[in-house]
Amino acid sequence: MAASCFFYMAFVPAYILIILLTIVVDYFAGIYIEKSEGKRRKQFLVLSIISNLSILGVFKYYNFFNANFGRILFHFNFHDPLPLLKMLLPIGLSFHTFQAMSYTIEVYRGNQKAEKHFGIYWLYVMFFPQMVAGPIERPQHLIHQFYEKHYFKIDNVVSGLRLILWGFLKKVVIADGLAHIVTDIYSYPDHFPGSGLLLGTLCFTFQIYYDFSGYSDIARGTALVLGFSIMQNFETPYLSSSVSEFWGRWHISLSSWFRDYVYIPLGGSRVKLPRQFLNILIVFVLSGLWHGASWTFVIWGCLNGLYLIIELSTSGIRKKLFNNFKSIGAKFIVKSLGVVITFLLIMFSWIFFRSSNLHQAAYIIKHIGKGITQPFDIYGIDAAPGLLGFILLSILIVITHWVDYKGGLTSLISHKPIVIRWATYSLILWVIFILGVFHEKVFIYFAF
Amino acid sequence: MVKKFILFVLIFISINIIAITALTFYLSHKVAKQGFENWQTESNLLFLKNNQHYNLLFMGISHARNLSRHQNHQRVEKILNKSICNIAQGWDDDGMNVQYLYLNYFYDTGNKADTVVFFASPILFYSDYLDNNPLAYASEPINLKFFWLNVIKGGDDKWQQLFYYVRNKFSPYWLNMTPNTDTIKTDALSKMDTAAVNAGLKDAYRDGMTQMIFEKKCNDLKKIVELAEAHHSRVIFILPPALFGTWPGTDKVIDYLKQLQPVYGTTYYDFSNSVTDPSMYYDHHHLNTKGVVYFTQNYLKPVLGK
Repeated sequence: MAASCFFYMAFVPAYILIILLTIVVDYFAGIYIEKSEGKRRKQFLVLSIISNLSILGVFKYYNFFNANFGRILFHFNFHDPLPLLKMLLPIGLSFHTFQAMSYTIEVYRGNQKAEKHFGIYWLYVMFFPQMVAGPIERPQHLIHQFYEKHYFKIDNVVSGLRLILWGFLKKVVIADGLAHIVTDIYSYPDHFPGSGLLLGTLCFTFQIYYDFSGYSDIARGTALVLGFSIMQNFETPYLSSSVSEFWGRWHISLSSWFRDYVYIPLGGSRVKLPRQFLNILIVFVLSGLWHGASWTFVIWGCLNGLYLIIELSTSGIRKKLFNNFKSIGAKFIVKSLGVVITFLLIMFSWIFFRSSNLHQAAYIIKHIGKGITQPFDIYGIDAAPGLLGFILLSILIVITHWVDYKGGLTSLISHKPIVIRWATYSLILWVIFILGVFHEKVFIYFAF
Repeated sequence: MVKKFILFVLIFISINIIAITALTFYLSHKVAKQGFENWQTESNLLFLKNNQHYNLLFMGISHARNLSRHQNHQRVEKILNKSICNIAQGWDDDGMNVQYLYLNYFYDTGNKADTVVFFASPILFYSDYLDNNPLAYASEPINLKFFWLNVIKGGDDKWQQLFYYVRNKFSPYWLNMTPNTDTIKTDALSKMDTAAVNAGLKDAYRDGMTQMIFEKKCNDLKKIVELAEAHHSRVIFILPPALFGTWPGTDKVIDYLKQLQPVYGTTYYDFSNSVTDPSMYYDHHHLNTKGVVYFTQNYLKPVLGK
């Protein structure tokens, strides 16, 4: 617990008071929900949710809604009726708020006993490996682990260290290696032809995956070294053959959170089709807003919701068509085509996610198709990797996808002879040492 | 079980450290053995020898290093009729503290200089980024004495700089490094481009012009002067020419150089406005070969050629 507090306070020490407030409210809400009956239970749940969302609302969404509200009022001659808040967003606010909410909801549903030990509940919200960027854990999976005795287990330590090493490879070599290209192209999109914009978007597609999945691996590895198991957040999402499959393999802890606590309570897929479509849209708009208080994130969410709606409404036809292909080879080709199409759709949606505003997103979409074969000076990009760098990064992307697809480094090499294991670790370490970018920024998802 | 695990970890780490060290030294030596002269490289350790005596030791940033590039070195030596060692560093690789480290290394390896000529480009007094450039030693071969000097006297970002110092020996930049064979710089400006000057100044003064940085850099300069004095070298400061004339913050720099004069017996010469012909520059503050020759004959020779 002390380590978690120290970790959190390294950012803005005073913000621990905010998280402490939600911990106290949710801790007592959990106990009172369990003790109470009938409407009172719901009242305590609502109180807990409102308090969590209020903090999220003030820190994350106040300025966004204020700016938009101000724009509307401007037409009625009211100028800046409310001041803007100038303060830093508490690190990982969206993650630990959602984790805290899942606790009270699960207690309300009767799936989790209210935690009586305040320190254990505190640790559930603030467990340092995953508190700033997930995975967003469920109380049923995590809380009981805090009661178990943890001994030094070499298997856990080795597996954890392997995950950490793997995560660093993804983050420091691949994600940060691509970051310069993305930053330059998205900072000055008007300096690049369509081919440059396409390259920037493609690089961001991989950057965000490797940045976030790299962090998740490091978080899981750190927890495992200490003897704790936390959920897997990614399962090679870019190998999905449909958008719905993608969302089952991308940021799994958040997708399942929205599924369990928003989509299903809204009726999920048990309602009529138009209502189901609406439910999907609601979930994805909320998911967009969860990522950031900006219209670009809202559009990104809407777009993904729209993909799913189209996919759902054409599922019957697609299934029939797929069944027409009898041979395994033909089925493989169709499936591969699905992977490519899904990848392109998701890549397109990342334009909104990465753009600083809708105007920039519109510019990129408008120009990405123009001059797509036009060469541009990659060396004009500050610190861009040369041709050899690009080839190495591409090879690493293929290798890391293959390893993750096969279940990860542990399942691939843990039973191999020591020479092969040590050679593999050394190779990864050397790649990190030689190709790693160490003066690069923080993780992208820390901002959420 | 735990002991065995720790032992295995230690063996694994040792094997990797030994392998990386051996390979780093091998790659460093592979480039260094080609043999470099002062005018053929941006590195200092590649050309510096031990126990040499020079009449003049040039220090500063690119404005000073430029006096050696493109074989200007021999031209300047000939005009001044003096032997010169140039340890100034260009390419944003070098600030006041980095120069202090190089001067330490120069003296520690038994070298001597009658006069240290410090080209006091004002930007040196306002920039922390020059001292904190992670790639400050990208062009240097691995040298344990220099490495240790950095450990004990390096700046704020010394660990990052030392990491890249070692790591860069694996880069194509290092592995493809060969002696520069350029013999002359003929590129020339036709006129001054005010917009380009403003953009350049904005970039150069990216740390602003804070008193805190200025004082820090003055303190580093004082250490340089004291070190030179301890090794019996006279110190002369020269404000190099620029097509746009005076750099922002020059007055404050001159005030400081004036303060040093009575204490350490240093002198300074302000040549900021000495070369005004655009055809003598290849950009707005770097002289081409024609400019170097003109500047040396007309301005450096009267003060250094005595």
